[in-house]
Amino acid sequence: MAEILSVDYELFGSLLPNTFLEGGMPDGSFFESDGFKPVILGYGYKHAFDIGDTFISDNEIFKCRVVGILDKGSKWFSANYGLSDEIVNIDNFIIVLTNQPDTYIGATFEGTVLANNYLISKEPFDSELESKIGEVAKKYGISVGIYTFNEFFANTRGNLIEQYYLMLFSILFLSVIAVFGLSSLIVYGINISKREIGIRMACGAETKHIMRIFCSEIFIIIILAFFTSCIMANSKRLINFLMLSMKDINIWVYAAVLVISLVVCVVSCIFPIRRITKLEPKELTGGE
Amino acid sequence: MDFILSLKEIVKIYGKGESKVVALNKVSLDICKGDCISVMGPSGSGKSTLLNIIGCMDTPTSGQYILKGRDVSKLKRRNFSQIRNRDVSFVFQNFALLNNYSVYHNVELPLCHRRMSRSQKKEIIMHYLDKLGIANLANKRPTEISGGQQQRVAIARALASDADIILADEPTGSLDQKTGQEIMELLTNINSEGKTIVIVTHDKNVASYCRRNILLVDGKIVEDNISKNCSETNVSL
Repeated sequence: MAEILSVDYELFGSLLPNTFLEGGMPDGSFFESDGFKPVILGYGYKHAFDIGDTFISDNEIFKCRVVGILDKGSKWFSANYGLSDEIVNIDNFIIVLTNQPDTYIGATFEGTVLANNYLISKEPFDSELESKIGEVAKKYGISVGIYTFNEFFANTRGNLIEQYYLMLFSILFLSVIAVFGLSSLIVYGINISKREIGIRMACGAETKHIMRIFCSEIFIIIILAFFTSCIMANSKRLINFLMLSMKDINIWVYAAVLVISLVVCVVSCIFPIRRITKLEPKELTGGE
Repeated sequence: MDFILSLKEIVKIYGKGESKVVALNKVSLDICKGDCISVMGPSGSGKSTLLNIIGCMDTPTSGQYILKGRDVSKLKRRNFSQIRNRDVSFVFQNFALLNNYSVYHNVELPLCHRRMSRSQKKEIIMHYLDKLGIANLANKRPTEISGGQQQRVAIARALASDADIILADEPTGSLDQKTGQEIMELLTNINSEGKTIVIVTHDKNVASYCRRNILLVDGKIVEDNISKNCSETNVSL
């Protein structure tokens, strides 16, 4: 099943500076020719089609002709709700150009063009388009939202700020819970390692050395949890990355998570380790 | 006087109020560099407490402790760790080895926190394991070797730190007589190389290996065949 991006040709040609490996953007007259929609292929299809090739979708809704093949690493806006602020790689996308002022992403070839419930209208808001969309939506029994760019971006910006604070609160809340959880784990670890701590202290280990031992043990657990959750949450992106060399993974997000994990690890160790190392070594070894 | 350590009026009290126990009662003691001392006394006389204070494993309630010219009583806890790492090392009755680590890693413990390369550490560790005749046990765990061998590992660990003072708390207490004698001969040899050794023991045979014998009763030194000065101790080495 191919990934389809259906987008207004003027938008696609003007919003992001994507370049072509072969072919190029069609002009408006193309849409009045022979009923074939112009399609641009992502870099991943460069060996599958040539310029001028035609193909028809399974349900025969689309009749397409290849007009261009994009350079590697081309980008477009992600998510299923139109123009989001996240940019994704479209190397494995088929971009179906329309002369309608709309864009949506993620519809499948077997599905309908109204797989997504958002259409983005150009400014000024086109009332004719609204009624046209309403008719189509009624036909398919789908509720369709129509936004102007300004409305859409205003909503998106507002949502983003809300999401930002919500995410910040979630991070803090989860970090505090993680600190308590890991501290309990360390207290348990300390109780079964009292003798070892005592012997190490008798041999000259300082608080920071004991701290280092426990931190490294906890950090191994955190790293394992981190990689497991990354694999589970990003399996599709990971497959794209490994099989199609698509680099739509934001490294900074993962770096931030790692840094937060490290801080959580150290903070969770400080209190129990400081408490235990205040005892004399002979108390820890049980007078051994 | 060339004292490696001096204790002045050391008092150690455990507990408070009615449950107060005076473990050491104004103990004063000077120990010369290269000396070999036994501390004897009945149970509860304060022998181990004295050893723990000398080894900075415990702090006195009052009194002054001078180690290698430094007033230890005024130091912070952090400095105690450094003293335990570089100036004094312990040999315990129950060996105090980490059973989940190999003999090699047990001997490495005092070197773990020092800035030296892995090869330097290996050289030191293998030198002392070889010296004590247990180099072939380097990869074994303490649970896989005999009590005498475990005590040799503990002595190798004490030597690896290159501390001037070795404190031994009943080093032969968990060993049979023959192995105990071997361990004492080993400690006597180490002493003859210039290390200061303080041994806490109940055993008169063990004490007979030492040049100076101290008898502690109820937290007070009641008998001490101290040399007149440190040079006498050093001459006899």
